[in-house]
Amino acid sequence: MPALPNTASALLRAIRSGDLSLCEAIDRQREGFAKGGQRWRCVTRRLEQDLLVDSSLPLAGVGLAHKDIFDLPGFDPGLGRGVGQPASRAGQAPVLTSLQRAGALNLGALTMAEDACSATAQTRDLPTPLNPRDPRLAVGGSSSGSGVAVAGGLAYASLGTDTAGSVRIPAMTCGVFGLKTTHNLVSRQGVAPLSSSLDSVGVLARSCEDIELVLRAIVKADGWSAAVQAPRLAHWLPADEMDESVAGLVSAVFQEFSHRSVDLGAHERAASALMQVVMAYETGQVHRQRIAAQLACPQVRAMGTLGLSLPPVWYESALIDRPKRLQGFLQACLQDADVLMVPLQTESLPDAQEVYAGGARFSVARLLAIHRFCGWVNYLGIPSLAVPIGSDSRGRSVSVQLLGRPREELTLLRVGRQLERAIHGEQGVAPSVFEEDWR
Amino acid sequence: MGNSGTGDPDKRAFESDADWLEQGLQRLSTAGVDLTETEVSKTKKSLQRLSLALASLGVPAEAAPAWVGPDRLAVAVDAFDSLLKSGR
Repeated sequence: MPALPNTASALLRAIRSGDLSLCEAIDRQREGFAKGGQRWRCVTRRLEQDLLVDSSLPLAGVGLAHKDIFDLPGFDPGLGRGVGQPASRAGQAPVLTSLQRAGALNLGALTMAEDACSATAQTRDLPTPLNPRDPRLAVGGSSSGSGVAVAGGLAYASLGTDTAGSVRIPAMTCGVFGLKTTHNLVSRQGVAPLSSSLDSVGVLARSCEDIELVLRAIVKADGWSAAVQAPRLAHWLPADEMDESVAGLVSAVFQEFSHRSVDLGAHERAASALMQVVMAYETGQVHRQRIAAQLACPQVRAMGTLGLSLPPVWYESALIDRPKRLQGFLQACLQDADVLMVPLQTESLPDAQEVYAGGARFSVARLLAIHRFCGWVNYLGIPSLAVPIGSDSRGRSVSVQLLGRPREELTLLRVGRQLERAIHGEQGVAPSVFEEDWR
Repeated sequence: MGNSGTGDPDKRAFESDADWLEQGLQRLSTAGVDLTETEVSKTKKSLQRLSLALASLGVPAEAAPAWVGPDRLAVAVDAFDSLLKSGR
C-alpha cells in the first residue's frame, strides 16, 4: 500500500482526483494516529467524531489533532495535568468547529506541558512524548504533542497555543513549521488561558501551504492583510549570543535571502522584560487558587508566585506601555522591510537529559537557549513563523523565525514557502519514520 | 521609597527595594500562598532582576495613582488592539 501523501494539500489533490477515496484516507489516518500515538506517547484522547463527507470542502478528510487545551464536546481539556474529564457542557471551542465545518477530521487531543507553562514537554503525571526526529532529543513545549504528532506523521497539522514560544519551540525541536498568529486574530473562546494578554492560537505543520490551508479555515476573510507581492527582507543576527555552529548556518541563510541587517536589540530587551511581567502577573491571577492549594505544577507555581508578589503598577505599566512599544518597533524595524528574519535558538537543540527537570545533565543555560528569543514577540503581539532551515554540525535541526506586521501572516507564509522550497523541496518537511513505516 | 507618585514617572528611581520586596511577600501571604525559604529567596531574586530591567525602562516600583488608573489601562488596551487591527 503506498504511503499517504506528505502534505494536506497533496492529500486533497489525491482525494479530488479520485486517486484516493475519502473513506480510505480517513481509515488510514485514524489507524496511523492510533499506532503513532502509542509509539511517540503524544496522544491523550482519540476521537471518532462525525465527519462532513463532502470532498469539495477545503479540508475534506484532512486529519488534524490538537493540543489538549481546547474544549471538546462533553470533555474538559486535560491541560497536561491528565486526561480530560467528562463535562456537562456539550460545546467545543469555536476554532475547532470552524475546522470541522471545513471538512477536517479531528483525530484527537495531544499531550502538552502542564497548564501550557513550560518550554519542555515534561509533565508530572503523563508520559513524556518522544521526539520523532531522535528520541534522545528534548521535545519543546508547551504544545509538545503538536510538534510530535506533526513530525511523526500522525496528523497533517495541529493547533497549539503560544504565550511565550509554545508553538514555535515544539516546532523547532521537532523540525517542523509553526506559526504564532497575531494576538486576537484567532478566537480563543473555549481555549484555557495562561496569560490572556499574550496567548495566541497557532498552527504547526510540515509545510507552509498546509499552515495556510488551516489558517484560512479559522480566520475570517477580512481578518488579515493580503500577502505582500515581493516582500522586502531584513535580518537580525546577535551572533555573540549564539553557538558558532548554529550562528554559522543561520547567518548563511540570512545572507542568502536578506540583504539588510537591522539591530532589534533594544526592542527585544524591553519587550522581553515587559512580557515577563505580564505573563507572571496573569499566570498568578489565573492559577491563584491552585498555587495557594499547592496543586499547581512547579512551573506555574514559580511563575505565578512571582506574579502574585510583584507590584501591580508593573503590570499596569507594562500594558500601558504596550501600544507605544509596538508602534516604535513597527516604525523602526518594519517600515523599510516587510519580513524580519530572526534567530529562534541560540544553541544546538538539547538532549532531553539537558533540559528536563531531574535530568542527569540538566542545565538552565541549555533550557534558556530554546526560548531566549520567543517571548518578546508575544508582548508585541505580532505574528511569527518558525522555519526549519537545515541541520547543524551535530545533525540537529536548526530553525529561525520570520516576523511581520500584525495580520500579515500571509506574507510570512509566502516567504516561508520560498525558504521551504529552497531548503526542503516541493513536498515540505518529511515526517520521521522510526524503526518501521507504520503507514 | 523612591516613588512618591509625583513628577515625571520616567525619572522615578528605585532608591530602595526593601519596602516593595516586603510588600510582595505580604501580597503572597494575603493570597494564601505559603512559600518555602528557597521560594522566598528565588522570588526576591526574580523581583530584583525584573525591577532592574523595568527601572531602565522607566517603570516605577510602586503604584502611582496620578499616573496609572483603570481608565488609562483600558485606553491602552484598546489602543493596542486597534494597532493590531490596523496592521501597522
